[in-house]
Amino acid sequence: MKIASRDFARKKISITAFLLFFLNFTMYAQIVTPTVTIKGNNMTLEQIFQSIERQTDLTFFYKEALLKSEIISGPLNYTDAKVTTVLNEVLKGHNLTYEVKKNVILIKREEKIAAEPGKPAEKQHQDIVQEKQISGRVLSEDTRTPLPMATLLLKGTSNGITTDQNGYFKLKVGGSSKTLVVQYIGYIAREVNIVNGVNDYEILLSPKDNTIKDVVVVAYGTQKKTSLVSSITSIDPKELKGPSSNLTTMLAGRIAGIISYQRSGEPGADNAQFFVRGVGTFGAGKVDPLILIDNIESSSRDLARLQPDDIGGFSILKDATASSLYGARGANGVILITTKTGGSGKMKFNVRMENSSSSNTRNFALADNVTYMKLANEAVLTRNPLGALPYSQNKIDHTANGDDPLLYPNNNWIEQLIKKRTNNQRVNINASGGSDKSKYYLAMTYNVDNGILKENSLNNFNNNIKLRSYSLLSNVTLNLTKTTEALVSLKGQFDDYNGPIGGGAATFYNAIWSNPVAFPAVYPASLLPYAKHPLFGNALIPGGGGLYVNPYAQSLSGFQATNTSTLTAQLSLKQNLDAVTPGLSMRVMAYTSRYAYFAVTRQYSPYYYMSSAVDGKFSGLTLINDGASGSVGATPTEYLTYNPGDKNVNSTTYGEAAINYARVFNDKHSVGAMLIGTIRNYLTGNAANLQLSLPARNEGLSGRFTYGYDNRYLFEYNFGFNGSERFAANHRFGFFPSVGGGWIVSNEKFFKPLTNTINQLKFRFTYGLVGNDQIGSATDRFFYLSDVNLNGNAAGYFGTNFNYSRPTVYINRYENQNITWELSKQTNLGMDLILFKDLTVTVDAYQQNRSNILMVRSTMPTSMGLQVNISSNAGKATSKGVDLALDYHKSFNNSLWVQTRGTLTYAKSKLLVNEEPQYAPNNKNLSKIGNSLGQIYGLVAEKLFVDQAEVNNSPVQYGSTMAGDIKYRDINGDGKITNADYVPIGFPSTPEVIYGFLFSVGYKNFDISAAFQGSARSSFIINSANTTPFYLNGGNQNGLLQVIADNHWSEDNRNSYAFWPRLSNTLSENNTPVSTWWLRDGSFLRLKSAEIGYNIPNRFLKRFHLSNGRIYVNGMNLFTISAFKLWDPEMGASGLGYPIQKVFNTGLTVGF
Amino acid sequence: MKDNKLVGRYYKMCFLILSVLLAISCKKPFLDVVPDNVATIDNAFTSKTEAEKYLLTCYSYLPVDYDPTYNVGLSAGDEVFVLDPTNNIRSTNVLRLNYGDQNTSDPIANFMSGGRDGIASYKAIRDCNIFLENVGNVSKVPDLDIDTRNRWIAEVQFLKAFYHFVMFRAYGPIPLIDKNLPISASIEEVYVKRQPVDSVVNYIASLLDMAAVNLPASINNTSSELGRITKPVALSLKAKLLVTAASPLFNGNSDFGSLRNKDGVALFNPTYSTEKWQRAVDACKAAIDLCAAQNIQLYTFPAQTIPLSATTMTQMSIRNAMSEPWNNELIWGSTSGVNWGCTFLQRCGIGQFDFNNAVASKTGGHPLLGPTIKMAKMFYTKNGVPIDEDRTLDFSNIAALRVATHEERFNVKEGETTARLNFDREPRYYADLGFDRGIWYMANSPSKSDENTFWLMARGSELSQSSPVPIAGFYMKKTVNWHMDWNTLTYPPYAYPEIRLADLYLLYAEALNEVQGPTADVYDYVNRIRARAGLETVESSWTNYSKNPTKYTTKDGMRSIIQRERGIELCFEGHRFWDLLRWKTAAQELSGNITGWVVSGQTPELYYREVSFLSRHFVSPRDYLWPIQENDLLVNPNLVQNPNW
Repeated sequence: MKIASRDFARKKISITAFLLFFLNFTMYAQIVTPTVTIKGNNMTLEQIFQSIERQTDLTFFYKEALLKSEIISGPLNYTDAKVTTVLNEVLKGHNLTYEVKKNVILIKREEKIAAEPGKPAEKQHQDIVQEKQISGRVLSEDTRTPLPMATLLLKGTSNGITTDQNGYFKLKVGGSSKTLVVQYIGYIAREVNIVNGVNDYEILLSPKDNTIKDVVVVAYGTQKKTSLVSSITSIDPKELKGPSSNLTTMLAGRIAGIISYQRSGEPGADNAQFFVRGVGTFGAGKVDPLILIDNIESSSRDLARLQPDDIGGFSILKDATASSLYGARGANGVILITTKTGGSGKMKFNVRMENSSSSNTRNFALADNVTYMKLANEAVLTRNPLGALPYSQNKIDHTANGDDPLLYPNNNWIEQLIKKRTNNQRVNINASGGSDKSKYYLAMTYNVDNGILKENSLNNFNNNIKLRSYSLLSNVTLNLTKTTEALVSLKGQFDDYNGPIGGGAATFYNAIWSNPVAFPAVYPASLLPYAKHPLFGNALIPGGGGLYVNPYAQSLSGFQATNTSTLTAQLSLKQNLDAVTPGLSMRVMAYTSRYAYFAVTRQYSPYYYMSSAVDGKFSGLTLINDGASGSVGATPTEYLTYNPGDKNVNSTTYGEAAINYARVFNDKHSVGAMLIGTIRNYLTGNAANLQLSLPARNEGLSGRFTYGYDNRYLFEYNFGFNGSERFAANHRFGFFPSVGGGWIVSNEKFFKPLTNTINQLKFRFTYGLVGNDQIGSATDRFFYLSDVNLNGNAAGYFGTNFNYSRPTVYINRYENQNITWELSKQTNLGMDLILFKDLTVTVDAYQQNRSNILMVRSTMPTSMGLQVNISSNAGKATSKGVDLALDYHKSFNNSLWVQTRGTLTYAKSKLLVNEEPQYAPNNKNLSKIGNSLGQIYGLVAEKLFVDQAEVNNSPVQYGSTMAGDIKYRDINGDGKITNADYVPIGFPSTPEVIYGFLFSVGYKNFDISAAFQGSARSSFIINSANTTPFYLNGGNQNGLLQVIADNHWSEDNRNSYAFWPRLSNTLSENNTPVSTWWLRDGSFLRLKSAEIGYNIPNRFLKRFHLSNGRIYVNGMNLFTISAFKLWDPEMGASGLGYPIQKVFNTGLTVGF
Repeated sequence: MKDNKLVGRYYKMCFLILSVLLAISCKKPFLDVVPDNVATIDNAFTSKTEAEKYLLTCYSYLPVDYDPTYNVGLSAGDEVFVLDPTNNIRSTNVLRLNYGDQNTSDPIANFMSGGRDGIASYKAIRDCNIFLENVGNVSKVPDLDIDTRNRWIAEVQFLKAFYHFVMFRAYGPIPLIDKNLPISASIEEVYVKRQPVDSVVNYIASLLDMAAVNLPASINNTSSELGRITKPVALSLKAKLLVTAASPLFNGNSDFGSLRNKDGVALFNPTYSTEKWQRAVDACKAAIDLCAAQNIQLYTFPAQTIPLSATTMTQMSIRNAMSEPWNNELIWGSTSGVNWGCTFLQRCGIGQFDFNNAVASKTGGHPLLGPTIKMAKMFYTKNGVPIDEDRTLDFSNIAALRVATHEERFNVKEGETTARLNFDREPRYYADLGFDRGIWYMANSPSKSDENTFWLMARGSELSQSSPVPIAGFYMKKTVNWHMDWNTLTYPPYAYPEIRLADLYLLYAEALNEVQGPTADVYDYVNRIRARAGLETVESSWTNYSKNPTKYTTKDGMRSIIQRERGIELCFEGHRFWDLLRWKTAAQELSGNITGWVVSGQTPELYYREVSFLSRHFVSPRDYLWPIQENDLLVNPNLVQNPNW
């Protein structure tokens, strides 16, 4: 103590002091079996047990009927009495006894339990002959994991037994009872008929949905679900399983409250975007949720790599009361994940192995090359009858005949670059077990994800994408003393990536951005037998533009490798302080996390050859890029060149210390409190400048106070008092309080008559404030400092030889002391309802009001001459929505069970205050106020012009317009089409509705499940510049989409509503702006996943000494229903990139 | 309850825990991560070395006229044309002006914001003002001596004037920013208004007058300061400013009478004033006199060790007046962009004259931008009069084929066939233009002389595809320094002539003619330029050869002669487009078909056919003024748009 106070006085490292003090302190603690306080008159045994359950971790098992009537007459008055004392006293005289196993207390009839099981009672003598021994196993129905310590009772008798560590049991049965009652905590009790002649039983128990999730992970702790007032969605991690090594792709439609979409299927770049309750803010700052894995702030990549097998709890904190403890960072919602820890018992192994085959959900379709050339000619002539034709009829004819493919090349880039399918493997192994003193959970994962790019034997390296990710997790729990628990957690996550330079999406883009007829992809090596390099084809762009892009050469000429690793070491200590006052505990946790990333590229510069022709026949090759002075293109190399890429290292250290208090007074007043201090320091080794190199820091003090009265009225108060280094001293700390209340109607007396139909009804209300310090771009952290670059680009170049120059001075940021926290005021109204025991309904409606959103001051005129935009906390937005989850679970006899779930998330945002000019009445269309934050703005396209007369009689459009170009509507009526005619078009780019529908059916050992996921109320814009056929952009010349070949405006087909306007080989200034012409509906419904599984029956398992086993076949993204056909609609505007994958997978899990 | 002493201890500990928690969260210094010495704008004015950086920062906004893709004066006029799209052109923004793509949404060459390859004038002005505020304060930059301080201030005053001028030339009335407004200025303050043309001119002129006081008459430290602003530059810009202000676009132009600020202030003065021309005359004379005193003269090519023909000597005088580095005619050579773009104009002008080094894959030249037939026609005949006025020479069929004779061997390759247009032209035609079968004399002529020297083959397939023939078949030979070497692909850099003496002479002649009519002085200054170009005087040429022999005797006739003389003498130097605007002749000159030869033609018969590439439409009077970006009007309600935009 002395040491501690001296440290405190010196204001040194507070955590250390805390720990010292903490360890010191434990010596005073004298902890024995839990103590309880019970007071009352004429209590039933059941009431006493419930009271003990509420105050301790203990769970009671007993036959309800047996104990209902047992009343302990007279007053009871125990204060801080040992549970054993209480039990001994109250059970005495009721012929009852108890048995303590871990945290379970089994209440038994005294005289009969003492007897040998199966020993016939007198009245059962006629059944003696039928006495036999049955055996079997009790398993969890959904995970097929064994249930240890499950109780089995012969119905109507007290003959019973508990299962062993692996769920096995043996029981002598006799007498008249033919029914076995099987019970396990958190699971629905089942009655099993004992059939003559069958001695081996596999008994599946299904979890009670409302009880297995009894305890929910909340900010800095756990809470009983019934006592929650805030809006928290908690999901059983196994529901996130699917044939994907990316967890983020599994969120959409499964969790109410998450808006999510996936734009790319490229291994390593296939993370889905996800937002809690949609996007409620805008700007360059953080708009996505805070992700905490075991309270470690993590990236979406860390989340993506997490295995459902290793997750213990998964919660989404959606409202202010849930997240205001994370005041500084919780405004966008929080995803809280805890990993599994070990349980005591002998070591258990679980292995999951999967092998899947993956293919593109959909490829964009390119037209054939004869059509390509014909339309390329049309594109020139239709705009300029004097124009030179890019392709001669001779070339078109020879290409069509295919008689000289080297001189008249005919490439199908998709076929040449992209495979049909690829294979991926996933392995997860975990081991857990332990003793009273220590428990462990170890997990290892190895996933291989291959890209869908074609490999080629021309190289000895592989240019296809191969992402190998490894992760390692070790959670070791140590009971240092009887009241002190330590958890040491080590996590390692490693990605090894190999892929083409520029990534896989670049290959897909190149497939449409490359001229298919200008050159062959590669010439046969036999043409130049002495050459030691591939003979890539190329040609000079007519008019002196250098070389084309040969996508084949680009894909094959090198590769990039990146390595990413994250290592985290975490220590937490929990100290039970019941000795001080019952219900008090303390906890400290600290972690450090190190991230490292580096990339290298190795490539050779390709040799490009072009065909020479004599008399119109292929006659040989000419090297184009010989490397002589002034030669076109990069000098070729036969050897690999090396380029170091980005290197990125950073480190985070974090500490927290908390005091918890939870207690029930007088059986009615349940009180909880928590106070936590946190401190965080982030350093990067790659800062671009001094200001960015400064540590990023947060510290805070947060607290929670909960009060519940009689399980009917609940109250909660939370606050976060947080500081961030990003703000000027006067704004450095923010205070974020929240309050909430709940009413469990079903526990009211007047509700009793209804409880058979409405098992639970609860209303919740919360209101509070959460903050966000991660505003603005990450490179723009210190708003209160000016940022002046005194060594900008050199200028001058004065003097005879133009060699006197000096660096320039450039202002990167103007000082602004007033920038402060972004605030989110959140209101949530929720209802939990359980109907007919099987149907659970959770519905939440919310409104969030964001204020202080950082915005560029766009009202600064150009004449101010500012170097950079200045910002202020001017923006305001609101969002509202509904999260709805319906769960239905029913088990029938004969091993049939059904489980369904429906979720709906609706999130709509609205911009309230925008930094924008005061628009004149005829230009109110430009105002963004009142529209969604993700609103798309564009012109209203009416149709394509029919003829020149219509062009002449219409408002002046962009550039020079002809018939067949898009005709826009003149919104502001000024007689010309300009950017002032933009209006909000379509839905926002982020979907406003995500919904899902899942069902599973199990019958005996088989089960089948399917999950549909839908997305609605979103739009996207087809990027017409990217798809404009024949457009030459550097060395890239766009290919021709089949849909354009089939359906474009032409002199012969004057279709005013054709898909594509009049062709042009340049970007049309008129046709490329964002407009309703290119607007498409982004909604879709897809079969996200489906699975058929078979659980290996006991008799086989035993033979192989396995405890459980399952084989399954599943698939992902199996089909999609959407009005949009060009590419996978979920990819939206990124449709030309790496497609989302359709996966077929086979898997096996075994445990032993 | 059990042990009061023990419980007391626990309470103390609990207190301690709380205290530690509070200590963690409230220890202020933990969040105070910023060290004391973070660079601020004050650091830029702590020493002479730092302040010099700021001086050069003010210079750094100067337009990159080396590069035709930025140079509106060159690329938006009628001198050259490039077919769009064009590969390997840095950007086609400015090149799209010919296509009528100017717009209000995102104006091409936005000279206010710097958008689409314009220059960010207001940013530049803000930097100039910051410099003037700080360096003007003698307590700052303590180690800066007073003479240098005054000179630097004068230079920045000039630059501030120039950036205003760039906007004035394009937009006419503009908001003037004499002092910077603070970042925290109220919305009302930052809503500046456009000022009337006359106020703008007076403001810029007064800034130039102020600057001229302390500017050096010439650069002493040539090795590190050539290119910096001198007094002749300031006076010349003032001359140009006042000539522009006196020109029809801004002097008595009633087309823009409707252009008023929202408070009703008229921005164009519709009354013509000869006084404005007189002011221009005075300014030009002052500049010319100062130049004379500083030994700035019309450039003539010095005698060479290897004797060259008189024809070639004349051509070299013409060529090198532009492309010889730091020649003695240069008043203001801009070095802006030298670091990366100094060769670009030359690469745009170069033809592959050296076919020994013209291998298929060499990308030395980049002649994507080429003179039009209109430009080729503008040059005089060898008699010094326009081709349609010459009564002794018939140019009615410009495409007629003719074989070059021995006498013509310094202009056209002897014995080769080319078009009528290429014969009997003035020396500037052969000096400034490269054309099929034309002679292209260079310092590294293989014959070591101008006999049997380089000549151009520009017909279809004669040259490699990688160094293409410009669209119309003509090259900007004038822009190429005569030491350019195909073998090593070196382009000797030169400072881009923003203002040279010939420009000043012609401005003077133009202004004087407006005030006095064609007096002897008017003829004299035009004739000085004609003499250097190897032509007879205006008087003798017109009298002897023109179908309109008295044209030069009238003010109108002389005006048209001076205007044509400017077009020829200053071709490819980025003046003509702005001249056409201020003369209000753009409506005629910048409309109609843009034509050239058929460069894919492999024989003379196929090659020499005049074809049209584009029909231009100059919308008058709208296009005489640049549009202000729509968003600027939305942001600042006090700004008004130029008419018809």
